[in-house]
Amino acid sequence: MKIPIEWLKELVKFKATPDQLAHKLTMAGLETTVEKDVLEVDVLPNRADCWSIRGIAREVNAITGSDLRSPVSFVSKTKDQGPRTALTVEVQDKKLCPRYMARVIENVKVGPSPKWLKDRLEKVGIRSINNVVDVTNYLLLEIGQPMHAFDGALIEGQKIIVRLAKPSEKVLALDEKEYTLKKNMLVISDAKKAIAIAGVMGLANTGVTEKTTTIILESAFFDPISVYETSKALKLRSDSSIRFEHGVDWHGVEEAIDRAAAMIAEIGKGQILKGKIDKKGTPKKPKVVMLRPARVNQVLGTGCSAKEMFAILKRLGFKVSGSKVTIPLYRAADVYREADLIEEIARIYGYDKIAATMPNTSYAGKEVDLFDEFRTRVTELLAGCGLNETQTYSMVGEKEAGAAAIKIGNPMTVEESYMRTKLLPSLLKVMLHNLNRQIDDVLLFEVGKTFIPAKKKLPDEKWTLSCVATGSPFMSLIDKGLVDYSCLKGVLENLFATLGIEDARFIETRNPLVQQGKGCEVLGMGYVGELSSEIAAKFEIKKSVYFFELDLGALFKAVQKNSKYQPLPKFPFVSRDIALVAPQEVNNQMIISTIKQIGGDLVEDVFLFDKYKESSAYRIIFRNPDRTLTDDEVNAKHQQITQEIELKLNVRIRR
Amino acid sequence: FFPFTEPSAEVDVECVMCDGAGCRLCKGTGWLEILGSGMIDPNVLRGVKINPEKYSGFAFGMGIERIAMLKYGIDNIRLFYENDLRFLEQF
Repeated sequence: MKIPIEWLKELVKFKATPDQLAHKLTMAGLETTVEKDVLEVDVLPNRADCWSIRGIAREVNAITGSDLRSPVSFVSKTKDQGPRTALTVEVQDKKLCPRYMARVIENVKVGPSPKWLKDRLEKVGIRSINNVVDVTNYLLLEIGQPMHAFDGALIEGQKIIVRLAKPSEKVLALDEKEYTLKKNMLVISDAKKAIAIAGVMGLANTGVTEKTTTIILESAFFDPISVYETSKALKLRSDSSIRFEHGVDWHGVEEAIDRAAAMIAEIGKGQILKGKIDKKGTPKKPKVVMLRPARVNQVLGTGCSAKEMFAILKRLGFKVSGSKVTIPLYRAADVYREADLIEEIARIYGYDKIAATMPNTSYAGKEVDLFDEFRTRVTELLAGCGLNETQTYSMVGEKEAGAAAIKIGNPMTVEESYMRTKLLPSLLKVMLHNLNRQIDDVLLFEVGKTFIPAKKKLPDEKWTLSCVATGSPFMSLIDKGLVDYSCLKGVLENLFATLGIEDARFIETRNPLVQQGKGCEVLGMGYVGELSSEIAAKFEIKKSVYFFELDLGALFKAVQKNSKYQPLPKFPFVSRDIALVAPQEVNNQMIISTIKQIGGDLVEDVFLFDKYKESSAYRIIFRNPDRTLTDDEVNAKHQQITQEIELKLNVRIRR
Repeated sequence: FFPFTEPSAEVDVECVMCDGAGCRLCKGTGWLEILGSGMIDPNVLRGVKINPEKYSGFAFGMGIERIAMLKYGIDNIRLFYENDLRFLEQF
C-alpha cells in the first residue's frame, strides 16, 4: 500500500527520516521501501488494520512512541440540516452483513474534486473520478473503510435491500463488464433491481455522475469470507474487496460515513438529510487475554520487564488492566491469544535486541540409518560408472502413471495428477528432453520413491533404482562404442560386487518391458535389458533404449554382511572350453549350474566368454584346492561334463 | 507472518546480483528472502497432541533450490527438475 509521507504526518508525529522510518517499519514486520515522498508498504495477510494510513500511523506510533493525531478533516458530529430522509434499509442476511449504515445528502453539485483531494489520491495511484466518489476513496485510504455512493434519483422505491443474489442474476458493474452471480453472493439492491455487488463493486445502473444531485452513502461491515469468495468466483478484485476480505473495523463504519457526509456536504455544497440509518447486530466484544510476563521472556529468551511489555502493548492501542489485555476490534483477526501478544511485544521491542544463543539440548542420539547410507553409496557408485543422477517429480501425468496408480485429489497440474508407480516413465521423458536438444548420449539414473497402492491402508512407498541409457558412454567421436544390454548388465554386476550382493540371479524373462530375448529379470529385484521398442515409441524415442529398474529395498536386503576372507589358492588351475548350441528353453544360468553340478568339487568356476550366432562358448576352470591336477583327471571330468550335459539339457556340443 | 509460527521471522541476505544496490532480482530492495522461521504456534502443537505449556519448539525452512540458485547464479528453478544433461554435467 502506498502511504504519502505528508499525509501520514497529519496522523502521527515523528522525527525519523523516510528511510529511517521505512527501516523501522520493516524490522517490525511491515516491509517498507521509499519512493521519493511515498512509503510503499507490503501488507501481509494477517494485518487487516494496515490497509489504511491510520493503520500505518498506529504502527509508527507504537514503534517510535510518538503522538497520534486526529486528521484535519475529522468530524465528531455532522450538521444535519435537511428534512428527514424517506429511505429505508432492510438487511435480509444479517450474518453476511452484520452492520449497514446509510446517509443521504441532497442538492449536491457533482464535479471535479478540489486540487488537494486530487493530489492526495494521485499520490496513492488512485484515479480521480468526481468529488463524491473521490471522498469515499479518500476515506478508504485514510481509515480503511470502503464506502459506496449511489445516485439517489436512480434508486427505485426509496428502499435499499441487502439480500442474496438470485441464481444466475446478471449485472453490469461500474467496470462496464457483465457478471453472472451465484445465489450465495451478497448484493445490495433497491425495490426492483440489484445496485451493487456487496463489498466488491457498485453497478453501472446507479453510479454517481455529473447529473447526480442526491447522494445515498453506504458504509457497512460485510462478512470477510463471503466477500473473498464472491471476489474470487467473479475474478473481480477492488480496493474495497481487499479491505472487506480482511475484516474492516466495526467502529470505523460509523466514523467513515459521518466524515464522508460532512466532506461531501462541504465540497459539493449539499445538505445532509436527517436520519442516519444504522442496521446492526451486536458487535463482537473485544477479547481479553491474560499475559504472563514470565512466559514472554521464556518464549523469547529476553529479559524484558513486565512494565516494558505492557507499555509496548499500550502503545499499540491495546488496553491494559493488571495482566489483562483488551484487544481492539481492528486487531481481532490477528491477535487473540497470548502467543500473539508475545509476537507483538517481540516485534516492537525489536528482534535485533533478542540475543543469539545456541539451543540448550543434548543430542538424543540415534543410530545411523543404514538404508540411508546405502542409497547414498549406490548413487555414488553409479555416478562413478559414468551415469548421471537425475531428480524427477513423484507426481506424473496419466500417460506415465501405471495402471491403478493413485490419483491425486487436487493436483496442481494435469502433468502432476498421479503418484508414480515406476521411475522409468519419468526417466524416459528426461531422455526425450535431452534427445530433442541434440544430446545423443544419454545415460541417466535415479534413486527415488514409487507409490504402490495397497488395499485399505496407505500405499507402499518403495525406494527404487532406475536407469535409462542410449548412445555412447565414450567421449571419442572416432570409436563410438554404444551402450547396450551387456554394458548395463556389467554395471549392475559391478554394483552388486562392490556392495557385497553375491547371489543375484539373472533370469530370462518374457516381461513386456523388455525387448524379447534382450533382457532379464534380476530375481526378486527387477529387470534389466533393452527396453521394448513399443514402449520406447510410446515415449517418442526412436533409438534403442537400455534400462534397468530395481527395488532398492530388495537390493539392500541382499547385501551379505561380514563376507569372510577366502584364503588364496595354493595350486594352479586348468581350463577347458566347451561350445554348445542350446534349445530355446535352456538359458545361461541353467547351463552354468548344470556344469557346476556335474563337475562337483573340481569345478571352481564356469563362465560364458563368447557368443557367435546361436553358439555359446563356456570356459570351465578346474582346480583341486589340495593338490595339482593331472591332465588325465581333467580330461576325464571334462568328458563327463560334455556327455552328461548333452543328455540332461538336450544341448548340441560343437566339437 | 507465517500461519504456523508465532512469533515469526524472516531471514534475508544481501542480493547476490546487485550487492544490495537494488535490481530486478531483488525487486529494487537490495535484499533476498531465503529463510522463514518462528516459534511453533501453540495450535499446531495441540493439533499433534503436544502440550504447548510443557514443550516449545522452533522451526525454520529454506528452499534448497533457492539457496543453490543464489550460490551458483542459476537463473531458472525449473532447471533442477528438467535434468538437461548440459546442466547436470556442470555439477
